[in-house]
Amino acid sequence: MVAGSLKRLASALALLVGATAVSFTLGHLAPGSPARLLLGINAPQKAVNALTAQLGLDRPLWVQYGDYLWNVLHGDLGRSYSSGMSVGGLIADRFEVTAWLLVAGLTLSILLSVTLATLAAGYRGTWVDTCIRAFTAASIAVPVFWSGLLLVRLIALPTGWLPVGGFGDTPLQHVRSMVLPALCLAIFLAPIQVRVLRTNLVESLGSGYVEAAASRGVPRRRLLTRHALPNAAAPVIAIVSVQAGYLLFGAVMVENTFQLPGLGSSLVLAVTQRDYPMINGITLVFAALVISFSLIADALTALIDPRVRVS
Amino acid sequence: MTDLIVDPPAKAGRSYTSGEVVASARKPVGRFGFRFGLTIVILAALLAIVGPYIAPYNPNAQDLLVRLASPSSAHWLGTDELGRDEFSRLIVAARVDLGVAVLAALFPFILGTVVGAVSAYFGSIWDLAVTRLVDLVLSFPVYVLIISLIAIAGGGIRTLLIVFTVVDWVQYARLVRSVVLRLKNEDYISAARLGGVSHLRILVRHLWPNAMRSSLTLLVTDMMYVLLGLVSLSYLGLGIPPPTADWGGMIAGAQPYMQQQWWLIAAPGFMIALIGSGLMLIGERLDAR
Repeated sequence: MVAGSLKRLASALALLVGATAVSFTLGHLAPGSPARLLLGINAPQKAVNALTAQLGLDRPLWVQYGDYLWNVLHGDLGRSYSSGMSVGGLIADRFEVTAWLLVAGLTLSILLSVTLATLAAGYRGTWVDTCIRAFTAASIAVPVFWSGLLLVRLIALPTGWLPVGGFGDTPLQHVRSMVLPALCLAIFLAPIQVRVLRTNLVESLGSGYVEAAASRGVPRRRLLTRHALPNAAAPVIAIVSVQAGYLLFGAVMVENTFQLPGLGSSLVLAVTQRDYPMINGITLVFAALVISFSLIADALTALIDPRVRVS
Repeated sequence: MTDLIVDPPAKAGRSYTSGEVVASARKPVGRFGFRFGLTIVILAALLAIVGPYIAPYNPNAQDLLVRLASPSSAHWLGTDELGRDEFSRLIVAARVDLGVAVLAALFPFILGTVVGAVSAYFGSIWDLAVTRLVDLVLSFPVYVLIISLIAIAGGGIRTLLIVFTVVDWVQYARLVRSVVLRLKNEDYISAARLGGVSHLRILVRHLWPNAMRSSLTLLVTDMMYVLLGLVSLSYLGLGIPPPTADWGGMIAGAQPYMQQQWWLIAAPGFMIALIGSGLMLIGERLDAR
């Protein structure tokens, strides 16, 4: 168990170092010299050369990579070309919105999928089941930004209860502005979770221990929620961890659809501005998020499912 | 993209691998669903072929005097924010979006299956390098990586094809690798080796066909994910460059006007969802077999 955890941790660390290598390479593939971009096109070549030397860009690549790694370890991701501010600081400012979106969206998607899957499994073979399955199958192919716009058009605009975009200034506005984006992200994530959970529930309901409980007179509803559901939960954690990359893509799209000032909208803005240090910084943070998601999911699975701890 | 669909090699110390989890979620789609999906996809393919010839207007011709017109007999779906005929743009976009999506799924399919088969067959350091590379690419959120690569390579359709290939081949490589690893020690392969059949021929004639079924299934589902990814990138302004008609860009352009001209975002989104569902239904049917 301990050895297994250490091994997973080590491979996660190796992946993180790999991620910095990719981020570093991306930075070097970027066209144009950073010094030139920082100083502008009218700056004299001499100044550009001086800044190149000052930034250490004339040194061998491996030295620069070592330097980069050292800086990343100290939270220094370079300076943004467009604003001149520290990339780490900019990311820290924007991270909160993205974190709220991810947490709210993920929580909502799990609530949604547990409810739908339990209903579908409980009413298996009836029209309830058919409707839920048809809905989940169809919604996989719906682009996430489009469902976001539909939510805005069908809920926010006619009722005026919720903002159509932005993050607001007060905590209450923050919460209100998070409702539709989180719902949108949840609708994006839920279909796959529902399918996995429903199948597992149906399997659990047919297994021996549930039959035994049923023969002892446990009511059907309790069988479903107390006996089958906990056992069907572990695979959902696995699927959420597999979905991590998908989840972040959803967050990038949702932030742009709802004009939320998070990392995803910063990333797209940075791309349009060709702000390479910012792009690499955000890419690295997202990679780190995906890797930590999978670590957390492993830990949670081990916590819930004793069989994993034994093996 | 389809990291949700592929079966990764089972890892020790975990009772659930994602592949098993997803596999258990697969439900055979009925024959009706499959025919429905096939019909949609065939119609979509036809539209992509004939679209530019049957479009009533030039999709890029602006008429600023009839901006944001409502649907009428002259403009079936009205006009967009620059006075371009929405219906014409909608059907012309099919060729661009579907064409790029098909190619952006085919290239990684070819690269991935070849690399996966070769690395698994010859094993040793080759295989190790490929596995590590696959793990590394998969540790990145696919679309975030795609977006950063687009930033560096600059926009355009060629960039999109390259970027999708660079990022997406790993899924096919992983899938084909697992099949070839399983089969390469089978008796019929050993027999072929002993019979003096060349490595190339074993790979192409004996191993590759076996790996094809699962890869083709993945290809169909992946086309859906690539299509969704492509229109999403276009929506962000990082995909198909304007003024070329494309569904994602059309939705982005019409977003400010959606309160009144809601059909301008409804129609392109509906096309994407419909064709996506069609591919999905076919993929599930292939998968169930």
